[in-house]
Amino acid sequence: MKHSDIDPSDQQLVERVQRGDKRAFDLLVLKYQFKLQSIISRFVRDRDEIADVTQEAFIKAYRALPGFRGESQFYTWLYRIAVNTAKNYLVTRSRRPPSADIDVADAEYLAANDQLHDLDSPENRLFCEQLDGAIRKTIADLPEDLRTAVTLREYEDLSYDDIAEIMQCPTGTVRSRLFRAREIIDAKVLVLIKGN
Amino acid sequence: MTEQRDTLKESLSALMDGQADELEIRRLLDATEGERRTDLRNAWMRYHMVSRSIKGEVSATAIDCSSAIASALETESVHAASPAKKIFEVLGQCAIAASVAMVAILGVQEFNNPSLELGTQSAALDPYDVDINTGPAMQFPAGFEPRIDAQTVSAGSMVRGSTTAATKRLLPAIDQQAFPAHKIRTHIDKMLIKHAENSTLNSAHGSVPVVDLNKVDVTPERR
Repeated sequence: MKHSDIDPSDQQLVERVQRGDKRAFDLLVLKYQFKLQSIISRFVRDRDEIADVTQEAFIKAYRALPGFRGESQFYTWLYRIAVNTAKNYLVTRSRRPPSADIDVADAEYLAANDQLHDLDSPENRLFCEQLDGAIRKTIADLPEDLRTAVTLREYEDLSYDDIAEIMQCPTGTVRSRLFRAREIIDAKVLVLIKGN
Repeated sequence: MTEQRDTLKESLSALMDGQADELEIRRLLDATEGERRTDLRNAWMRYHMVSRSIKGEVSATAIDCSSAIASALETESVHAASPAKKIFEVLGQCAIAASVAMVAILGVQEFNNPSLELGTQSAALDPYDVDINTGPAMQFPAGFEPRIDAQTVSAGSMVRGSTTAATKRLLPAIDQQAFPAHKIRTHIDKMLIKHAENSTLNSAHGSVPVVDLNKVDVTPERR
């Protein structure tokens, strides 16, 4: 399998699925299901239909995975499958799909920012805002070493080696700092989710 | 117990960044089937939710359909490259590598051993052999015998205007030089043909006599 710019995490999981470990696909589903739903919701609006099309898209992706050669990002490949599945879904129900395709980046932007989204209730919008605020505040309150590590990783998308070089510490330390930072943020997020 | 849980979650965090090794991934996947299944799956989902939120990608359309997908996939067959396919792939790669290596070896041998070429070609193509001059493009006047030494560039070992006998004596020396006899022969042939073509363009009769095949007995002379 050729790997151009494929996300290393996706690459590890995809290779495991291709070698016969079905469990790794579950982690890919958990990772991408909400992003895929955002794209699919551009074509179908009903919650149940979104869930059905998402499920169908993932099943098609699983079947087609042996043919995935890593020439594009896994998500881009998955996105195409999702868009085709959604269009086919509309055609089979005699509904007309959108005339023009939506670019991956545009679709993500629209899905994340479209305030007029049918499913985007005021409660949900409020939750998203609370979540975003809580995450930013928690990051700001983190000890400096953890804040630097998580900022360089999540905002700057730097590798562990680059972060280690900048922070002048071993790669293992970067790894543990990132884990500790994520655990602190996760604890806040969990409280927020339970409260909602 | 908590330590084991933290180790697994640290592996989860590392996997998110593509930094988990094979053993860690295997342990994680084993754990996602065990009693920590819900705990780990939810943590993985939340880690990604936080990451997306930081990047401004969180949307409210969040329906967790992972369990339904997992149930639907239970009936799907497991992907695994068949051993036969793998063997054919390996054999194919070996065949290509062997072909490339063979071509490279032959090429290097050919390139580094010009004497072999000279010897072979000299043996195969004797410039004084009458039989090789019997083709239509190789018609020469009777008694025409090209003087090999006249075209030799390297003058060190050659004597201009030498006799045929002297030329024949020098043949081994010519073979050792950069211009093998057959190449000289080819060169002369080309020159003569070009000359004949140009002459016919400039005059009714070329300077090289044109043989009228209708009037000449072309039966090969028996020796």
